[in-house]
Amino acid sequence: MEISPVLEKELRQRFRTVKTPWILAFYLWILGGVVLAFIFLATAPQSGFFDPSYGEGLFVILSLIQLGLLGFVVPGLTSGAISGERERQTLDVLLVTPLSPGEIVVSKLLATSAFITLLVVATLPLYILAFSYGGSPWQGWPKSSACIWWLYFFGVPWG
Amino acid sequence: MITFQGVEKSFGPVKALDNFNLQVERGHICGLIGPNGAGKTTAMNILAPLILPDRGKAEVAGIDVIQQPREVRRLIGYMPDAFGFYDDLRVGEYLGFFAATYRIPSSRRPQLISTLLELVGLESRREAYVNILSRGMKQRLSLARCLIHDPQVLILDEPASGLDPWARAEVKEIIRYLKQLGKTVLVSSHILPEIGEICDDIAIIQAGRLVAMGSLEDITSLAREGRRIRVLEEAQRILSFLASYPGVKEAVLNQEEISITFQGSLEEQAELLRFLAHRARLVEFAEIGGKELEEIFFSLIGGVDGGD
Repeated sequence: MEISPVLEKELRQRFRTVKTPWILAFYLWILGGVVLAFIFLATAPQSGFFDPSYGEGLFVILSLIQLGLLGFVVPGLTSGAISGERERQTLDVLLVTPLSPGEIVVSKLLATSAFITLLVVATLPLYILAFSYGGSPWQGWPKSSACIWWLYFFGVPWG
Repeated sequence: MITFQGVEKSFGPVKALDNFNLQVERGHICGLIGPNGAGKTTAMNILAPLILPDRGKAEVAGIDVIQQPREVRRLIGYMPDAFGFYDDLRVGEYLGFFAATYRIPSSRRPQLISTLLELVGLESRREAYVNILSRGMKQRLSLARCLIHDPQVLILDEPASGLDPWARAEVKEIIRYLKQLGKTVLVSSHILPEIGEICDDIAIIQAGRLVAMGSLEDITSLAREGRRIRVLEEAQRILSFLASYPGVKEAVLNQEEISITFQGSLEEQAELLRFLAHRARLVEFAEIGGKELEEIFFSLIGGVDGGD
């Protein structure tokens, strides 16, 4: 099976541009900063002891911030997918090819989803901090995952 | 090969095409000439097909653009007036992308891309990013893109606009070569001399209507300013002959010199000359001020403000 030409092009363009590592770095910097700030504030000043029960709170905060950040990032990424073609004056050239408009839209959607997947997967090491401090966040996984996947499947096409 | 029959298209209150008719033969280069806003791009967008006409019929190789747009897209290569590029792709990748959209097998693509880049003189730029190409190079790359699926018909909207004289000459050379390959080309411009010399047919469009169509010679003869005739005797009698002669729109006597406005082909002009030679002691027959192509264009569309 051959990959859609629009999807291949979008992925190539997305991961070639210098903007992509910067978005990734900025995203991780914000989330990482929140995690470190949380640990700093939750650590007892005299003993330097971090209460393991805060681990769950760290997990919840991380998930909520991730959800909030994706809420900003996803529409920004998806809304420019088609309008960017119009701005660059490449839409007409694309529309005169035998590709159907549906194929073009779905390919762009998949390319954007791939990038969002990268953002989410890149934050997994931060979640490990929540685990390593002895929290018991397992019960929180289904809820937070559901929130993120909801945003993924409804937020991306909406954008 | 290309047919417009009574095509009409409006954008709100503006009528872009008004009962527009045009026929382009297979293997011909047809120049669609008109001022800005005349309806050239609308006609080409209907053919692409990017927009639908309100009325009338447009066909490419007998295929209706409204009924079978996807089939038409496989037959045509379209170069819009204003177009952009994916600047972060390399030249080879750019053409490879469009080859993939036409489902050209990946094994064939490298050779095809090399052939096309050689045709447009960009072989050495294959690995260059598109954003570093000059405008002329981008224009040629766009032509290569149009040819990626070996279309029968090429629709080129102002392919030479904004180019320097050298780049314009290169584009014209490529279009000539496309004719040799048997392609049918519909090429637009708002400057008649720019493409007049490479076209088999010229269609002049003004306010959405076809004003004139024919070979360059036909178009030139349509707009001939006039002839000056000098006779030695009986100028008055010759004048009355000329006044009723077919093709003579106006005849004015000034002493022994008669100025006539004659709209006819070169053959008809030769016939007129024979007619005069039998009836008068003709001493001179000359064209008044041979018009430049640009002047012809303006006279056909009704002056330099014709486009507004």
